[in-house]
Amino acid sequence: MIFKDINSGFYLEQKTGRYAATGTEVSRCGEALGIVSAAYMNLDRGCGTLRQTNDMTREFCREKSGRFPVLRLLPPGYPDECYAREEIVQLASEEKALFRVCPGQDASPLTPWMFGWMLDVLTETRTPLLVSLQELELRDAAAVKEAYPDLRLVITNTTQWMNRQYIRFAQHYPEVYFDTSNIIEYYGMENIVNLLGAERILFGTYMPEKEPYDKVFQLLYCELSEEQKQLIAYGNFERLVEER
Amino acid sequence: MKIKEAVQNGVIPEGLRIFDAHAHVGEGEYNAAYLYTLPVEETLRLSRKIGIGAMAASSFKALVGKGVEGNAKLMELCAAYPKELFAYLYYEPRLSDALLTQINAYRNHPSFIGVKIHPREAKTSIETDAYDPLYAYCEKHGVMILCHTWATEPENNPASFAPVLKRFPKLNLLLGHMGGTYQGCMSSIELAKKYKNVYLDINGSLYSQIWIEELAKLAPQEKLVFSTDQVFNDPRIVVGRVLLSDLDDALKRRILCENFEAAIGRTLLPA
Repeated sequence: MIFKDINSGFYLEQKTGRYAATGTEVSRCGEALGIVSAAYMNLDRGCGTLRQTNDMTREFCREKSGRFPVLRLLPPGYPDECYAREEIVQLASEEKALFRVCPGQDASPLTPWMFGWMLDVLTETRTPLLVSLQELELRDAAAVKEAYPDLRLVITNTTQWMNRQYIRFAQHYPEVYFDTSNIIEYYGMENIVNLLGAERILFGTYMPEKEPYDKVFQLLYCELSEEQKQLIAYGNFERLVEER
Repeated sequence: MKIKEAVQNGVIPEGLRIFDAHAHVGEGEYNAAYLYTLPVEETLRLSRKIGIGAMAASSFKALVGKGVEGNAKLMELCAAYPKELFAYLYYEPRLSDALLTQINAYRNHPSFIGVKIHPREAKTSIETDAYDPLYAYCEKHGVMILCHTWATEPENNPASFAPVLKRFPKLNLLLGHMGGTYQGCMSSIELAKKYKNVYLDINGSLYSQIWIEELAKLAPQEKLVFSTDQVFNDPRIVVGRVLLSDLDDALKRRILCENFEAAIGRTLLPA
């Protein structure tokens, strides 16, 4: 089976504890497991401005097909650090870029008033917006979904301690997706698919912060139909990321 | 064919011995988060399917305050599946006398593997001397203690075992989850290097930002013990972590079963 990874990243140099950390290492490690395509984000926080950091992601993704840039998105407060409307449209259409907000790290809660017109643009261009559940206040996300029901929100890094909340959130709002990177609950994959449908789950590893082996094995050996496994492994990625 | 290659092709290599050294059984007794519950026979079926030959479990019922009752129920289940299910009997200081009596009664039972403690759930820190009666008993009789550890939880930071091990240096101790976080793993490794009978339970360390290949460089390899934390967590997570990694096959075999057998001095799965 092939895999397409919605939640991958890289550092600019090797990191203690990570068997793979740089873009080349992460890419090679993934390929050895059948990961043929991935959405990458530059995780290095000390390499310049937001634009410079994101430009490194874009450059890495241009080096090889099957790589899609995940660009960190800051709210439109300071014009010199955020993208203009036309830039977001261009990045989404020409480079098939995705965007990620980091409400905790960037002290920028994901709310309609904080990101305003940016959410309009992402909705109009059907561009997935990634956010980690570990950083997300679901009440804020609910306000966003009330205002932008068609926004494609991909919630990554779920936690089993919040499983009652995030399952209800996705049952209540359309266009909410989860990645597999932290689905570790007993029979979690099967349960979530039975509750939400395989169309809502995307394969994600969270490399290089975490190793990818568990997620590949979990999907290979889970008790779902082949069709459901394929949707999670790569089908949903193709629909949401590649076929915009 | 290498283990990794076989598994990628959908085959768990025949004869690969996998013993799950940290599991739970129970039916709906734990509900802090939603937890899917299966009958024990279904739990064992999934384990078999992914190559786990047997597991050592503790009781959820015991974990949530009903120690004696939960332990007794667990021993009944072990009797029903004597080759696949082994027991850690639960201990908490609040019920010390009753539980030590029960542990002593089962100490030589073939299903008995050791004692499980969970200081966070028992609301009693390992830093106190409340567990000393257990430590003294287990050190004297060579009984393995599996302790839940997580560095961010004050009751069971693995670093807190340093003074305990000064008092009980021969204690046979398996540090559950290796303390979970990066710092927790590093503290656990330090103890495993210093004390002959301290072992490292690799489930949970998945989130320490230390990949298993690097873990095998940092920690004494003979101290790494495979476990899954099922049925709390999905056993496929840690099975995949080992089988699909780039560790060499001999080391995988040691982690998957041989190290734990050496730790408790028993053969648990047929060769």
